[in-house]
Amino acid sequence: MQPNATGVAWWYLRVSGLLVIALVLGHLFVMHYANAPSSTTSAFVLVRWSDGFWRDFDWALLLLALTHGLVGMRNVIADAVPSRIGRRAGEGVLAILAATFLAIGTISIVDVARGLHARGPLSDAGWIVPALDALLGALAVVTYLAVLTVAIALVARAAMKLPIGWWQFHGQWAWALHRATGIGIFFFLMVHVLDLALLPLAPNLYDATVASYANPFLMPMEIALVCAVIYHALNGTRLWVLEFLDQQTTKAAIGTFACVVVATLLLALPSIFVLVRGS
Amino acid sequence: MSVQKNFRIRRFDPSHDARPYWATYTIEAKPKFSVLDGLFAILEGQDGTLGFRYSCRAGMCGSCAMRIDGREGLACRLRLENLGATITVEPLRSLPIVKDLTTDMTPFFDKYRKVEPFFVGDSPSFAQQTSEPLRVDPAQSLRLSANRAIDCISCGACYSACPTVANNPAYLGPAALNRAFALAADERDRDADRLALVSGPEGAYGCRSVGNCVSVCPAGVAPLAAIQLLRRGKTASAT
Repeated sequence: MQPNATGVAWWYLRVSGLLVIALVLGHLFVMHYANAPSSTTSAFVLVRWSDGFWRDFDWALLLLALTHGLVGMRNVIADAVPSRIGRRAGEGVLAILAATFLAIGTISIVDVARGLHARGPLSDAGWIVPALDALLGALAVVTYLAVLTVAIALVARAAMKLPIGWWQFHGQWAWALHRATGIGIFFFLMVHVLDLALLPLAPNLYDATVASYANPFLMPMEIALVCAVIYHALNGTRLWVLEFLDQQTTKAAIGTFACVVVATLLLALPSIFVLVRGS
Repeated sequence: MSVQKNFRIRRFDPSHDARPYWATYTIEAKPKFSVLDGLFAILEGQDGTLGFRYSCRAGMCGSCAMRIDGREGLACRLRLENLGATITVEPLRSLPIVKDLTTDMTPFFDKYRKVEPFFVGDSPSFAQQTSEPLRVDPAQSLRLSANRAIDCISCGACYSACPTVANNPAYLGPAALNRAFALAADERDRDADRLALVSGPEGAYGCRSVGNCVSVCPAGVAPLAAIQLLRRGKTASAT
């Protein structure tokens, strides 16, 4: 069977997903377990990126995460946009966004590796920090509202004693969580690339942005982000096991899904402790 | 000893009703009563207008597939004693409703037909081989996978449980793709058109690996496993 564009995209998701898992879990460990995110200041990043290994590590993570996200978002658009023109337009916008953010991230890494000055050309542009905070805040509001809406809808159906439809299937939850976490991580990655771009342009503003991660309104988002990354990575591994080891039975699917959920919660606990202590 | 059971049935007659509505009935369920027996009790004793489809009553034909307590299954195979005091019964999803629990299976079988669900041999060479039957090792892994796939009874439960089918009307669906795999696993089959169709965006790569099809199949088939083997190119022509 010769895969077409959709087939190539499917294979790319599987291969890039496998490659990015080790990188993203390593990144998570350094940034959310060994350190509190609010303490990863410009001085911290400068030390980190003065080491070629970490520069290559972070650039490979950026490349794989962005392209993996791009292909994943292509599926989201394919499922959400009924018109062919709309889908093509959406894919075009996504490709431009991914290329732009890859370029911004690459330039930031190269610039920081050359060394940082106390101030940069945008150091006096005080509006940048509230703008980035607003972006993160908007992402947080959308996430909180989405979780609330789903919870209300499920409770309402249960109260009316109506079947909960597809939501009774473990596979539906595994898929929906994988998709929701993927979308969340993709958009967070963009905001993250933007704040990293501040490093060479305005290190003082970068430090102010990082400090805002300790904001109590954003704290649940920080925790949700850690859970999202762990879940997405573990469930991606689960898909590999089920698909490539020919384990497509309901028993295997439910068992592995339960393991993924429990492991996600257990692995997130130390990070929550670090976050709360850091704030 | 009989037990009282409530049936909450999603009813809709497109020729009369503006929208679907719920109707509730109470029956005296005898031991070993199936959901289908319960529907007959309603039809014969309470409401002769209730519409549902059935045929073999033995779980072989797939005609009585419907959603029972929100989950796709065969009404003739599910016993009332294993269900709660109130049983919610709805028609299959993603298919037009003919009346109440009876759905029009045309979209399902149109897609089934698209994958050419029959053996397509390479005529000349196959004719040359007829004097000596082709030997297929029953322990061959592809053959074992095909064994599972050919148990499909085309009831449409997987089609109804699949959110990709509901979202993308062009997607072929689990049953058609499962059938395509069963034939593609046959080393005598030579249907390149079928393989080209199932490798398209409406085929195996359109599947989102949700897996509801595996959860609901009353015949124990795993359509997602067949789809996965198609995606990985595990067909007889590739081996």
